[in-house]
Amino acid sequence: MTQTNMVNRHASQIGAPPRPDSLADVLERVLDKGVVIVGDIGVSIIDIELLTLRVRLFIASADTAREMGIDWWTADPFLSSAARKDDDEKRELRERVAELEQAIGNTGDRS
Amino acid sequence: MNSAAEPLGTYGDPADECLYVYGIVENSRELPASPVNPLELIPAGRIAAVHAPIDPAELDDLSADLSEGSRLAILARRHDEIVRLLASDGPVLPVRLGTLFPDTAALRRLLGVAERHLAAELERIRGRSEWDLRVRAIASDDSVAARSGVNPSGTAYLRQRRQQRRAAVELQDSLVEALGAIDDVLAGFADAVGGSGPSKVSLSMSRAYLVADSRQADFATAATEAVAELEARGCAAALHGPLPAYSFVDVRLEAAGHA
Repeated sequence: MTQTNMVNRHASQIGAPPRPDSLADVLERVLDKGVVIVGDIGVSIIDIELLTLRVRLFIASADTAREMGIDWWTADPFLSSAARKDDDEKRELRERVAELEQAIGNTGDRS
Repeated sequence: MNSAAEPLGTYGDPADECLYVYGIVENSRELPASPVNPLELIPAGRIAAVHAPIDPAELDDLSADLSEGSRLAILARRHDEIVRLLASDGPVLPVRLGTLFPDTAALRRLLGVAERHLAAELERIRGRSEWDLRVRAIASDDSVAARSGVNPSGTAYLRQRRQQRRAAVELQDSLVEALGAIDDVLAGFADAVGGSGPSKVSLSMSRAYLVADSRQADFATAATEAVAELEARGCAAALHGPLPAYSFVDVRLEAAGHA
């Protein structure tokens, strides 16, 4: 049995229509878990860090989360800022994004 | 070179192909047919890295669009699909999205240094899959208020509010207790448990269970029953699995550049 079939079988057993993983589910898996390779090899860590932060901010928006069907994420430690409605943390994340964007811009200036 | 390509600027012309690494597998296995790029193996002792060629420009400015159908979404779903494909035929250590190497020599150097560690990690998850269960309460104490019907005033109103609060607390306690019991049962089938357990504050749970092949069917049955029970209690519950052991691979490797 394939993985997808198995998931769908469970979904049908509980009376819900088969539903593919949401983009947020997939992003949470592939961005935040697994083997992380850092150093001056592989894609620039600054780029992935920026991407991860932006994804977190994006999903921390309750409306966006609800639209994506992943509003339980607002209670996940991955998104604890949203769970606590911690505006300070969101502001820090935005500032970090700005710093990273600035850093990328500076790198570009040097080339 | 435009500014969007700068993060990969150390690799030279952005049109040059890089190696995009999806995961680490055992050296002895054959590769499945890929739905996208042809997959290739770079072996190093007992392990091998699964990669495909990619134009690094595909990773430029991914965070500009986070919607379904965006380049990020396509890349993330392709990555997940290939890792799942690899996991269907043996243990795999998923590598984080967007991991590029400029050439096979650089990848071989890293694998050579980390071979023993990665081989041990593969052995740890061999014959096991991950199941994720996410639960969130969607019922509220509004339902208690709605049942009262009329709008009382004065002492009666205050008494009703106390009753509503008491009922809401009892519902929450009951739900957290049920989540704890379900978590205990499911953990009993698992070799490892990750994520966050039942929360009385958020009335939610986001768990990952690492389950051996021999217990998959029993786990799936128990988890499916748990989902039904939680939905009957007014919760949103989502079960995903079996999955590659994403939540149980926590490896960070330092890679040197050009040796």
